Amino acid sequence: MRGRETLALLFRSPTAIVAGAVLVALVVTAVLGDSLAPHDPTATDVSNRLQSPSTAHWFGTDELGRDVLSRVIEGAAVSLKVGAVAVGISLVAGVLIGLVAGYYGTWVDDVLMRLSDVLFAFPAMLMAIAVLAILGPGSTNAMIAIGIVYTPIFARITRASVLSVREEVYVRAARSAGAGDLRIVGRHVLPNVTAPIIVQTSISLAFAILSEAALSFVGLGTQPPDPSWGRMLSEGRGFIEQAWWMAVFPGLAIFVTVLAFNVLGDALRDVLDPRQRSAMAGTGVTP
Amino acid sequence: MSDVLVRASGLRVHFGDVRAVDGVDLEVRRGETLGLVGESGCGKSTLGNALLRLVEPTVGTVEYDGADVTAAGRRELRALRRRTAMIFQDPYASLDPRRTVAESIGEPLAIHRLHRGRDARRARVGELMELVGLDPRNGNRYPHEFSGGQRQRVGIARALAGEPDFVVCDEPIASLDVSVQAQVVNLLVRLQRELGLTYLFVSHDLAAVRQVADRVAVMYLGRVVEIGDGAAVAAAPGHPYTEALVSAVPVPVPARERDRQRIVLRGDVPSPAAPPSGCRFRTRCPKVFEPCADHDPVLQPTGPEQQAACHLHGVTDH
Amino acid sequence: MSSPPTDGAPLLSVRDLQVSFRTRRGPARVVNGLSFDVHAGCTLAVVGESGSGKSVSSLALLGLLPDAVAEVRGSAVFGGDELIGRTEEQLRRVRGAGIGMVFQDPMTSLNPVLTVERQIGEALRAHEKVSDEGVRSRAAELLTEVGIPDAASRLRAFPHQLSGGMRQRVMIAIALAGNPRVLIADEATTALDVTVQAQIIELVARLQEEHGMGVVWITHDLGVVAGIADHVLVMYAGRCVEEGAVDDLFDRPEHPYTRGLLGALPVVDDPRPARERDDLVTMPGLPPDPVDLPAGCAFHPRCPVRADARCATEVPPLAAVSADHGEAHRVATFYAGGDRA
Repeated sequence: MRGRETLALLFRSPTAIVAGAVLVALVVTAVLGDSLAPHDPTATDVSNRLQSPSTAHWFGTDELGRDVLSRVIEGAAVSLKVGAVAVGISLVAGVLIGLVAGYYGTWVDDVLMRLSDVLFAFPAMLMAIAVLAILGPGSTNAMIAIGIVYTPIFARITRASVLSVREEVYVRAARSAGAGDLRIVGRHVLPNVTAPIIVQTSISLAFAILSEAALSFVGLGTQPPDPSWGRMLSEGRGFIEQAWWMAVFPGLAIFVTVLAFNVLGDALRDVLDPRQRSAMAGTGVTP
Repeated sequence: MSDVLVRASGLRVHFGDVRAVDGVDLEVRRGETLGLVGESGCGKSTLGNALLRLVEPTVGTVEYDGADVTAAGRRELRALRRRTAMIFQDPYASLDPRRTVAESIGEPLAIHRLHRGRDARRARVGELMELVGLDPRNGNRYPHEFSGGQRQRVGIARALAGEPDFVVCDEPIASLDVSVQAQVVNLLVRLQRELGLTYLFVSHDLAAVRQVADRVAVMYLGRVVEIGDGAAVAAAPGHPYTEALVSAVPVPVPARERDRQRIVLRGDVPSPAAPPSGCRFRTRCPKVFEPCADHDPVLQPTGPEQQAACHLHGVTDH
Repeated sequence: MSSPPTDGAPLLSVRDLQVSFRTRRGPARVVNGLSFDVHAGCTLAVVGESGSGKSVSSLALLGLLPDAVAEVRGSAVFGGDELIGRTEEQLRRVRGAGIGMVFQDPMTSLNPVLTVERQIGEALRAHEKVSDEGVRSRAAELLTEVGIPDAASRLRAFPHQLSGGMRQRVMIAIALAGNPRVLIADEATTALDVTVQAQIIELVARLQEEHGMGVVWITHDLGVVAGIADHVLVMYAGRCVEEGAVDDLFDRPEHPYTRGLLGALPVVDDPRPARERDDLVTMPGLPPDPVDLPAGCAFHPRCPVRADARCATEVPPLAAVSADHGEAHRVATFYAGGDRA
């Protein structure tokens, strides 16, 4: 329905096009991973350790002689997967909590929102580390931990939108026609709160990838020998003076990905705002 | 079959301290249009909503077709929802922007499982669109592609989808341009006569109410202060507030406007959280006299088809 | 009240005003050659539906339209000075002091975080240097003048503490602060209840009499116009389609659009019960899109008469049909003077 219109408007913004292209390229890289990588990302070659970038190894090699480019490519899959699954968890849990709290209000709202306040009150990283301390390190647990940490944001954003949509006349109209809660929430409330949630999803993906990198950096996320951008950054840190490329390339990958998600999120925010939208599209009236 | 379709008795709707509706007895007769006029904050919309049980009465009862629906359970309420409908003021806000107009019009059918099956439902929606003067081919468009008047037609089609008996029209023309208002008024009148509907026509516009309503009820500060035959109420108001209201409505005839004795009320409507003692209108009434502060007047006959709550017709107490 | 305009020169004289907005789909021609005069002590009513260009015209006069999107042409002479094309600085002197304005929504046109005194004070200080004491006493005077009881204590109130009618009175007090010679009331009573509307109408009539102001009353409500106007101008799609003395125009409307508007109004004191009444007169369709105005008369696609072949090709000129009260009754239609349906 509105999806095509949204895309058409989105493509009017050059930065959004660039961000979208970067993300598409990233997904393709993650999917094709193995076949794109010039070398085996886990194959060590001690005779070729710490090589600076060259035609054979565009991004150089690390302390075990592994090809950094191949590892960055392989890491894309890990980072995107962790980001997507973690955000998926917080999206589903957060939206559900937000819908229930916002729609029913009263004590349900109080209980759910106080709980999410408690989660919110801890610094995100500290919270994730605490969860991983209980669950144990590893990339699966990292996804769960990040998912939990970002749930309150989605709950809050959903609740805030539900609170205003709930009071809309069209919701009253549906109720006056006899619609039950399930129908009202599913058919009227949820479709009308998607815009801010989509924007938040895009921004949270950036943060989730960053969090995964941070957790891997401190050794709680992806475990060796699997490559992950955060892990590579952490390993490269020790060699920053002899082999800058070990840290810089995975760092750049994180930077570009996070930036792309953020830019896309901003562009979506503009496009999905109905006021902006009518100004941009100049809607006509059916005669 | 009684000729009263909807009856409210001793109805009060309070929101915290605010007494939006504060002791209303009202009958809506089968097949009539009852106009409900009053100024903003008088409780007319709340009363309309309470008659459909869209807001819960604090005290009092609402009967629909002889059955008390004040304590109706889930199933009874659902049945009531099919037999009643509401048309809203703002045609921009009352349609879900993310659903096509056919989806909006068909929603009551889906809720009440009427005209089941894709084709039957589409046929019924097309029929409803034609009934209100819309081209059924535009059914898959979204509300923002329609003008205000067309959206209001969509709202009307949706209200009629479940074949209701009783329709509350809540300021249905207030947000429309003059020439579009006339279209919607004519449409509502035509539909009522064709379909034998019963209307509660809630409006601040006495001239529009006179155009559509058989009887008129006037509200002030949570109470019905006058009710009766539309022509009689406008020609010979029994309540000083009605008199002021009638005299304030501009008439598009310059000579008559110049000669008219306009009653300009002093001050503002008191807060519905703290209405005056006795008669609620006494603080602004040009005809106030001594019983008004102590006695709260009840509706009493002032003509064959007319009642007013004013001590000028004999002192009473609520 | 409906005496013909005094012979003196008009306070404000607008000629061939044109306003267009730049939009994505091309220029929206919102006002297309509007001319009128405002005389001291007289009320000119500008009537039209939403999108007719009636409000945009007055905003254009005072330079209140954003330059980035609006293009204003034509002439508007006030007190011997041309207003169109003036700098912001020059116009600021005219706003308030020369021409005061009252808008529709008294809630949004007042600043919610400032007291009534501050807002009136701002208007007073915009035109002359006044001490704090001077502001207070003058503001209280103005509030009393617009019929707000207990003015001294109301000065400390914030807009949300006032009723809609009170807020509109405050707006009028602000408009009066600069002692304007012309007061433009743009749908000033539309958001108000009828009994409050009656209060505001009475107030403006009194102020007009006391100050001898020229009043431009912009409204969609012909009922209000009948009671207060001396001269009426009916707008459709950015043009004047008919104008004349109030009695002429209401008694002998010539333009099919004017007739349609009058017929669309229900009449409160029609003695017939609802079921015996005729349907209201309706005009099919919608006002045209200002980006895509029809050729010829802008009203012809909706016109019930359309008696002349030129309707679809030529814009009918605004021509006099009579001058009964010394004031021309002019109408822009090829049909004027024909038999009335």
